[in-house]
Amino acid sequence: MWRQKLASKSGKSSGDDQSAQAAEDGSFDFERALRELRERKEDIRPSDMALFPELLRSTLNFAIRIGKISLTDFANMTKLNISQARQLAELLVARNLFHVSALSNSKETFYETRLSAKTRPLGRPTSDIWKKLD
Amino acid sequence: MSKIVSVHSFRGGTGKSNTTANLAALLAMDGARVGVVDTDINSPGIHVLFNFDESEMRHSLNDYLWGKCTIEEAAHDVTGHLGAEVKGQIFLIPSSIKPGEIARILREGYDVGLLNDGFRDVVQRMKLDYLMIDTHPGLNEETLLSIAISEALVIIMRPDSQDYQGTAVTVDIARKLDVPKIIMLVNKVPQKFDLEDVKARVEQQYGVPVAAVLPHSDEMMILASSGIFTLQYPDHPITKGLRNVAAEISK
Repeated sequence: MWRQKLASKSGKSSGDDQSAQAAEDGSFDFERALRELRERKEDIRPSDMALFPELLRSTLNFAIRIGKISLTDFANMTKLNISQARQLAELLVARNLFHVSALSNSKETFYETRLSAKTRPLGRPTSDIWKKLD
Repeated sequence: MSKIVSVHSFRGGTGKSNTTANLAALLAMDGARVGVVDTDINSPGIHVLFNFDESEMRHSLNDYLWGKCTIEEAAHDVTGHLGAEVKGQIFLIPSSIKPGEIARILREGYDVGLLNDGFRDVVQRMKLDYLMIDTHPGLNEETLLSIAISEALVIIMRPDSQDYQGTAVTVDIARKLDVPKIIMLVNKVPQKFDLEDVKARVEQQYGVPVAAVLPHSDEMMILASSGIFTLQYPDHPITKGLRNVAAEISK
């Protein structure tokens, strides 16, 4: 049965829907991204990473994998000007994905990247099974 | 340059820990320094494959997450447990097997950012060539973090309808997270199946190279996680398949 399913699935990625947000030249809706980050109250979690529009998503993926990125590289990879890139980066700092590196100087700002999230603790069962396990 | 490699399957019981341990052993045989992290905190088990007894566990990943030790202090050299000569070294970071400590993690949760820091620190401070992450099946924040920071992802599936759907989800996520190298491994394939046919179909379906299609093996079942299969059966077809996966990782 699994073989039949392999043969019949279209293979279209749900990520195709996300790419609809991107413009034809590969840039993304900067104002919308800015607005969504401003309105956001929580830190950026690993599960959020797949939801960013291209090119922001691939740039952030790159920065997270490397663990750091400069403001200039961030601007170049997202096809934003330095001012726009700085606005986004500052919101990413506020959402605890970017952290300004001590290596930053007057000519360049460097960011270290760190994904974090609290795993969801399970609720306490009424029978208090945890005490029996402790 | 060091590589972080996640080994993942959407469903449980696919042979994820077994594969991780064997890939670590094959890489170590080639002289690499390999770290292995058991992030399956809810149901740890990879330590068994390395014949690593609970009494030897000075610290666990749990202790690191609770701030009781550094990540290096939770890393145990298990090279001598392999029962074979290897040129490299394997360092295991086990998860606690104590019921109370598993319960505490489930009850309190933890910041997965500590995994982010710990993975990078242990690679750097212990000068590892590879860090293999044995993930929890399915998708959660810690698994997504592991995939997001990995240079390579090994996805394991069985020829099973449940695995088939879940694997599509995993491949989709891996693409969205721009994992530089995705390697597929089809495990526990009935011996009646044409392995080349399975390989071709899976590659066509997911658009991901299949590094190995491993047949179901009685020898593997009889070994029953009491050792590293590739070291005990160096000429077995499964060992040959896993060598292909290790070669893909090291490329």
